[in-house]
Amino acid sequence: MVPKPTEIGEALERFLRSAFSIREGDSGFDWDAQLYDSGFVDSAGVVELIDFLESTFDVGLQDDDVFSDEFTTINGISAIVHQRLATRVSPDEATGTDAARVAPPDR
Amino acid sequence: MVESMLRIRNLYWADARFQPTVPTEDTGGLTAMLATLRGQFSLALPAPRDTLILVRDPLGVNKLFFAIDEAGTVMAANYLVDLVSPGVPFETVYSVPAGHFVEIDPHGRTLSLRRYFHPDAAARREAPALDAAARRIREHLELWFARLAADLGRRRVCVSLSGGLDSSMVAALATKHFSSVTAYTYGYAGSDAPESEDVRSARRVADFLGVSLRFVPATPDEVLGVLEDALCYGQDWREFNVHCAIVNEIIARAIVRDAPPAGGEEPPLVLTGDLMNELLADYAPLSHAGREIYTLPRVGPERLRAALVQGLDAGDREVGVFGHHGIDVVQPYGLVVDQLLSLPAAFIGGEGAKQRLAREIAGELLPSFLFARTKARAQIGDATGPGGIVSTLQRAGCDARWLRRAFSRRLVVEDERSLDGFIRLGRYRFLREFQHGRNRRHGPEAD
Repeated sequence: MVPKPTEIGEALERFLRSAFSIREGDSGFDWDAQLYDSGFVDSAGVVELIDFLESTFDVGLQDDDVFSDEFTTINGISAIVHQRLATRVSPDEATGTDAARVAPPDR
Repeated sequence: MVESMLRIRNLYWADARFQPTVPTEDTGGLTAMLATLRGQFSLALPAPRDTLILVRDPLGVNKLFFAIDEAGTVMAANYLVDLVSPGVPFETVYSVPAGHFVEIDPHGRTLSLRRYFHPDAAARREAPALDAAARRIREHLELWFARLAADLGRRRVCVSLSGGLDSSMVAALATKHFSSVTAYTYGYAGSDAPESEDVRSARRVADFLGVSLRFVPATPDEVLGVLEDALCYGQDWREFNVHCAIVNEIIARAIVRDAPPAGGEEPPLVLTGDLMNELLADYAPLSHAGREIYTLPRVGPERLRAALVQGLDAGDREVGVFGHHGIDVVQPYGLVVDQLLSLPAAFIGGEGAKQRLAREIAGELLPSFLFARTKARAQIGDATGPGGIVSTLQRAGCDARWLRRAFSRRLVVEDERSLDGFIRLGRYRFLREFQHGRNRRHGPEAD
C-alpha cells in the first residue's frame, strides 16, 4: 500500500520539526512554506531530508525530483514521494491524489 | 551565436591523449567520448544544425555559466563576473552541472540537458582488501603524474602544501616526477599568532622531500585585503568556501610576485591536494567561538560522500581563484576519481580510515609523523585552538550574512534572496528547458 500524500506530509513535518528545531507555534511554518528560502532547512539539512525520505519510504529520488520547484515545500515533496512510490506499483494499488493540491487537515 | 568568455584553460585527457578533439556530430558518440575524459574542462562546441553544446568536466572542477540573450546569442563564461559586468542579469545566468552537457538550439529555442558521468556508478559494494585498493590508487596516481610531467612538465611547477596528508602526498609525487618543484605554504601572521602546526608540518615535509618551501605569511589586514577577490573569483559566499579561497588568493599573489608572467612563457602550474576530502568524505563540522560554522549533514559516510562530491559543482575556491591570476591548477586526486569512489563506505567512515589508507598508498613517500597528526584546517592552521582567517573575519564582522551581502554587491545581484535558489544541494542553478522571456541582457540597449 502506497502511503497517501497527507501521511507522507505528516511524517515529513514530524521529521522537520525534530531535526531542525521548528517550534509548534512558528506561524511561518506550514505545508506550503518555502523550506529553504525561509531558512527552515539549510544546505546540509536538505541532504538529511533526502536521507530521511529515502530511508523512511524506501524510495529513490532522482535529480529531477530534488531540483524541481516542487521540492521546496512539504506539500510538494509529499507529492513527489507519493508519485515515485505510486509509479513503481500497479495503478490499482496507488491511493491518494496530488498532495500539492491537497490542504492537510487542521492547517 | 556564441560569445565565449571561457578563460580558464582546459586540461583533460582521454587515457594518455592530452586534449583530444571532442566530436559533436552525434550526441551518442559525444556521450561515449565524454565518458572517457578525465581532468577539468568547460567546452563550448559548435554542433550540427547551428546548435551549440556546452560540456563540463565530470566533477565540475572548471565552472561553466551561460546566459542566452533575446537575439539567440549564447554567452558562456567560467566566471559569473564576466557575464554580469557587461550587463547580463544575475537572475538569468545558469550553470552546466558537473558531468553534464547541454545542447542548445537558440533559434529553435530548445535546450536539452544530459548527464554523461555518474559518480554513483563507480561505487563498489564489496570491499577489496585495503592494501589491494591502496596499491591500485598508487599505481594510477603514478601513471597520472607521469602524464602530467610529460604534457605540462615544462612549466614552473608549484605545490600548494598545507602540511596535511593530501597535499604532502601530492608534493611527494610531484617531487618524484617533475624536475623542479617549489612548495608554497600559507601561514597566518597575526601579532598574537605563533607559527601554526600546519606550517611546522609543511616545513618538516619539505625537508623530508628535499623540496624548497616558500612560506607566505599573511597579516589580518592582508587577509581582509584579498576578501573581495576571494568572493568574486571563488564564486561563492558560503563561509567554508570563502575562507579557503582567501588562503588560495594569498598563495596565488605570492606565486605571481615571485615570478611575474613573461610574454610567451607557459603559465605556472599549481598542484593541490584538494578533492581527496570530498572523495573520501573526510570532513568534520567546525565550531568557532561556540558556533558551528561549517555544518555537515548528519548522515552515513556513503551519503555524505555523495553530497560532498555533488557539492564540488558550486564554489571555485581553487581553479577560479588561481585562474584569475593566469595560473593553472591541477588537482591530481580528481584524476583518480574512479579508483577513489570505488572505495566502499567501510573504508571511508571509520576512525583513522584516511590515515590508514594514506599510509598504504604513500608508503615510503612520506615521513611517518604525518600519519599520526591530527587534521587541521589551513584557514585556521591549528587543530587545538582558534586563530587564522576564521577569527580575523569574525573580528572584522565579516560573518555569513556579511559575506552574502558582499557577494551580492560584487556580482550585481539585485535581490539577495535569489542567492537561495542559485546554489541548492551544492549545485549552481541549472536549466532543463528554454526560459522564454527570461534571457534579457541589462545595459544601455535594454529598455
